Amino acid sequence: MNDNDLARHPQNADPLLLPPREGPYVLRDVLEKSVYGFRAELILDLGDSFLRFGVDIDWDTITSQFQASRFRAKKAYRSIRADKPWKKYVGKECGWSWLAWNQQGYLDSVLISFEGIEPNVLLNTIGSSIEIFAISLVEKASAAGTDRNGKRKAKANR
Amino acid sequence: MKLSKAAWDLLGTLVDLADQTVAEVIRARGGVAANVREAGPWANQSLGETAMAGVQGDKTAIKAVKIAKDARRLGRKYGGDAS
Repeated sequence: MNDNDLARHPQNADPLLLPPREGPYVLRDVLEKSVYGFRAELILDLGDSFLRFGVDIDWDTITSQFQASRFRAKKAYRSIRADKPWKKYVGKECGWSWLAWNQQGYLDSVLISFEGIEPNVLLNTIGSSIEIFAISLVEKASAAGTDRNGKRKAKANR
Repeated sequence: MKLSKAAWDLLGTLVDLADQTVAEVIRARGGVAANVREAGPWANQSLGETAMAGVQGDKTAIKAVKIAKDARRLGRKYGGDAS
């Protein structure tokens, strides 16, 4: 097993992307770095720290790195804080985070929540690029559904 | 074939296999028939041609490159390689 294999195996990755601390991590800005049209890096700027996501182009896997220092944007980075889906999360607290492996066993996805524990954004690496997906809750299960045996539930208070 | 810099970036270390067909690359990297089928018509094209189409925006070509990159299964079920 080489270093790349280690990086891709679930037991060696920690879905807790932000080290625990008393104060919240608040999203201040989101920046991207494009290389030949691919989103090669994505920065979640948290003010006094930042999360850097990248792509391992040999495997289309996603990498993440927490830095406990301010992000100093260079020319290559462009702010996308005003774009969907980020604009509604700027100023909000970064919440829970998840890692996901594809069916082939490669870590290519990260989910992040803001002000809660429901995932709001999915980052997925494909074609040497970090693609961004917005996640939305569809609807709650209706009260007048079926029970666990598949039978229709009787309406309450008839 | 001559590849653009973007196509090089799209392929990563697979760039050395650019002259082989996508199907050949998938099989050489431990993929199975199902992976080749998923690559669709790109399976019979060279990896280089597929990458060039991908950087021009063809999403099916991007998908084929990803299948080639992740051809070797790392899972444990269904006879996957856990090494």
